[in-house]
Amino acid sequence: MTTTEQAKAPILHFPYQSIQFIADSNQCQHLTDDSIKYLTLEVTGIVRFLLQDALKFTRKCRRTKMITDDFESAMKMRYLEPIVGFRLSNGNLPFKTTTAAGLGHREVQCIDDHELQLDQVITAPMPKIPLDVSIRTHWLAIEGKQPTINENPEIISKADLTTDSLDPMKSLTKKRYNLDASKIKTSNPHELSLEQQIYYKEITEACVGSEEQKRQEAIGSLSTETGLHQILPRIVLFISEGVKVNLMQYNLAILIYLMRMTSALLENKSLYCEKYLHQLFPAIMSCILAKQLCVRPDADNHWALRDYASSRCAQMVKMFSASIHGLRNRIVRIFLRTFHSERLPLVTHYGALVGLCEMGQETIEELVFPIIRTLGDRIVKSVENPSLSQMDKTTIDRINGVISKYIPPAYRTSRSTPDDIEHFKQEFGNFYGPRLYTQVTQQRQQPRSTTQPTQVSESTIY
Amino acid sequence: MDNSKESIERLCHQFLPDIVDLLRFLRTYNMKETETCFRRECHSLVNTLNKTSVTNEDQSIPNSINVNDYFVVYSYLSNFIFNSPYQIELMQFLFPLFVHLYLDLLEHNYINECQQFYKQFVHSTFYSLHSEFFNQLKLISQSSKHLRQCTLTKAFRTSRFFLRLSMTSCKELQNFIDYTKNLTKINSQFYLTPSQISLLLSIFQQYIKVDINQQIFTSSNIVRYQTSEQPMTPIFVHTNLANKIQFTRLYTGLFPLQSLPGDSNRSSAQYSQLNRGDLSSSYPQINYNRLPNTNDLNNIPRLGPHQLPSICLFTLKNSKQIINCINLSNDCRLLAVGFQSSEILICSLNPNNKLYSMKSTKELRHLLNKSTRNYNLDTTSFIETSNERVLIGHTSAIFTLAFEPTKQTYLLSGSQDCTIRLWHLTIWSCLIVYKMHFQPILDGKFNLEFSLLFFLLISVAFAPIGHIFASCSVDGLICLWTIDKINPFRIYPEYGYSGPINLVVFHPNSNYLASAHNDHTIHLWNIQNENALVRIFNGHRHQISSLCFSPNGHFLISGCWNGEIILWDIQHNLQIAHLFLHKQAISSIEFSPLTGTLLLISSIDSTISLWNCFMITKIYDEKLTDSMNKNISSHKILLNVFKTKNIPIFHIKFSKENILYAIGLTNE
Repeated sequence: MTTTEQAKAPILHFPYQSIQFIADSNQCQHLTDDSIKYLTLEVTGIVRFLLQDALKFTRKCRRTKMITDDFESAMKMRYLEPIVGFRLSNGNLPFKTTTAAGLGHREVQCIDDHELQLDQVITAPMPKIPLDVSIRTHWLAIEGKQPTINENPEIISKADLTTDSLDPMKSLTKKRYNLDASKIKTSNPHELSLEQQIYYKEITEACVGSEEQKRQEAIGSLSTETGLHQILPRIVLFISEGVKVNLMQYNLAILIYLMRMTSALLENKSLYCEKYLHQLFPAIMSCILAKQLCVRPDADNHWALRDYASSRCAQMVKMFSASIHGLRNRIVRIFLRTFHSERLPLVTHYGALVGLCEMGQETIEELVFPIIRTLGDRIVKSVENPSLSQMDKTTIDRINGVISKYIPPAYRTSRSTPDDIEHFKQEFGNFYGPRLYTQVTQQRQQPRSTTQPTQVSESTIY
Repeated sequence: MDNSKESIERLCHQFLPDIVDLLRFLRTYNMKETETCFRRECHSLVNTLNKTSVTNEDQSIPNSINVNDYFVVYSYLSNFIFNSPYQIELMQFLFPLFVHLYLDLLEHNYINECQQFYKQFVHSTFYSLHSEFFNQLKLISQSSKHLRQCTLTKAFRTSRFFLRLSMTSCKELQNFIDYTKNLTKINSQFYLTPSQISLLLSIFQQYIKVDINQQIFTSSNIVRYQTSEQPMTPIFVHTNLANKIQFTRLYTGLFPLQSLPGDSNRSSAQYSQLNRGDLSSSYPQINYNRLPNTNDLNNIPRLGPHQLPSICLFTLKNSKQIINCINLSNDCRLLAVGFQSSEILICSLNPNNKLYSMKSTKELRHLLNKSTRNYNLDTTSFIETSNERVLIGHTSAIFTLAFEPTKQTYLLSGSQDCTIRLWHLTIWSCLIVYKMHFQPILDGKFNLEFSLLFFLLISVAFAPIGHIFASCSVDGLICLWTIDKINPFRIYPEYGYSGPINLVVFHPNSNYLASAHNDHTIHLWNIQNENALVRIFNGHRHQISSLCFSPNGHFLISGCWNGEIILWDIQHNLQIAHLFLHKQAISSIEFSPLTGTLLLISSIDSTISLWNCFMITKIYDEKLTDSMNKNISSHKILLNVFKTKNIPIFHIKFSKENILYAIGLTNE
């Protein structure tokens, strides 16, 4: 069909009014209509031929656009006096459109020749000198292969283009893989069906969106749906990248939503997240240990996120430590390392402490008991510091809360009576020793069943 | 007899307005005697014409044509052809018929009918075949005066269409025409009046020549890449030529001298030794081997599908619209750039290779005095300051540049000021100005072999044969020159104007010259014989933008403005492959050196494509022998496409080290 449209495409034809206008402006007002009609035909014909000739020059010079020089050359070729002075530097045509005075009121193009003041021309700043031609060299191909350098465009296949537009996260991984050429060859892409793509889009939007109702539905879907194997890698990627981005922007709400998604994935019985732990763990650990999670750390409740993330962390360690050798040790080591560094803020210590405590009875006995003493020392030191911030104060309160929540029950089950205050002081230091002593003795008097904290019980179910 | 009458009449009809102009001219300059004489001559001519026209058939009398006949005849024939099984071949008849009916209508000033005719019969399939011609035809739908000015219609009217038909399809048409002649009025659907039949036949006789191929109609074996089978288009050539054209056997192979450059070197060395005795004392030998050729060419691996080339892209920044043409020297060390502003810039691409200049006379004299017996005088010295030189001499835009192929010491430039200049690249000045064309020079090429001879014999100073180059121009002439004469020694075409010529290329064995014409055909000329035109290659639908011969001399490849590429078998005048990948004009084509198995095509749509030429010819051969299995997959043909960042590629050239040098222009 395009060819027929081309056949019907308009061809150059001067309007009658234009010729009349030109005749008027050249002091030929008394031309008859017939003569103007004849002139129009003639001029149209001549200009058509000139354009044909000019096209020859344009093509010879391999330009895609005709320039005024080409038209000049065509005129020279026909032994016409070339019209000079239309070489355009800015690319705009020096024509302006006016309405003809005649009957038709058609628009007429005319040259905008306003008078120039001589002193204006003289005083005007010199125009910019056009840049000189310069040569740059690069390899377009080396032995038939295009090297990936800045001068060459990126080689993007069609399949990549479509998936990229649907899934911007995927292109991020692509870039990361590009660093290592060997990985490109080993990874083979899985195409998602259109339904899956839509599902993925809906779920991710609902989870981080503003509607709580939708979010709950989405998270419910994530925790119960059975056919998510195909898009699991994408969702995991979404979580890990989302945490990365939002951690920098202190976007607490989104971080919490992402953790809830993680939780939902873990709850889903049909999914098996073992292959994606390398992406999930960093995300969760960042939520636990980050120096700052929200815009106003003293006011916002980022403690909830840390607690929630720690419980998820413990849950995952429990789930996968059987199949992955040394997983528990690696996680624990990360937490413990934070206590050896004095520079880290107290919130990080808090996170690590919660993370460890969530791991369960054995971890508390083996690892938390020894660090309480150093932690106590650190707290004493920071309390003595005159410039103690409000933030640190609340953190200390929180740490105290955690210790009093987890340690006494654990101590009670691990050690038998009688309790000795000196022994406590020796084991837990001067700061926490007396406190824990009182708490433990209090708890020992109560019956066992009621004292067990709910948090621990929840995490031990799995 | 009929022919001569018609021709006189046409002549008279054509020149009548000119006669009026001439009379007016004579009157204004008061040349009364000449005027009366001229009038008398004219009257006698018109009288004879009138006498003959009385006896003629009715359709040839102007102003009494039956417009309806034209519509009926055309629709009738097109109806038959579109329903025929041999549509692909018979389609060729439609275009000449359309053109001449249309022009007839125009000549008789039936402008409205003419436009109606155009609208009614510009078929969508048919239009795409000749879209450029139709665009031009549409432009002249004004008056018969414009008709005479238009070069295209002149070309149509003075030429005949060559149609290549197979035996079967020709018979089909013959039967059909006989059938219509014998029809009575009862079958009203197919009935043509005698005047209509004679109109049809007169156009066939006057403008069409059928070249019958003795074979049965078969579909073609052309190797295709993203193209579909299209109906054939007719060639049209000048009537004078059409009557005596004959396609003889070509010697497309290379001469032994060419294939063994070492031998030719030795023979010339012997030759120079013979003459040295008496001449050497007076002519100090100039050291042309300044550019060291340290790489042994035999050690460089031959390129092929398993050894792909490297491409080095040189981007000229801020250069669009001011640069008209670009050329690289054969060793890819020098780049010549022709500007719209009539300057030529020579620059060395490798910063380590400085440009050379002749030493001053004082130094040269000193050198001569010092060492009279040393023949290898070093007459040149580095230009220390810059890596580029500007040559000024032309007075208008430069359109073509050509390096002398062996030593890169000479450069030819063709310009819009209708001159060709020869520049020396160590003296840095213009040596000779050649003038012949009276319209801008579009292309100039050095001949390979003769330049070789000339430069090998320059040491003995009286070379019997000069160094040859060719030039072509908008004026429709191809001139062959020797470098030492200021007049061309041969001018093609012999019959006169046939429309602008865009490109000329020498065959590698220097016997033939290919030229791309504005009517989308490629003509092949034999430069040795008088009977010059040896082949016409027809099949492009757009203006040809690039031509290249294969290194073995058997193939010609041409690219055109819409990006279509056709590979031709020169000997048999056959199309071997149609490749369609690029979206815009093909700027340059290169075969891989020596082997010719790879084909590199650059386009101004800022890509370079790499094709397996060996595979193309192989598939073609397989198709010929194995007619059953015609759908052999053609996916192996295209090896790779290299894209640039929106840098249109203007020129590509292979260096001796098998690296492809590409030149692109950008404005960023």
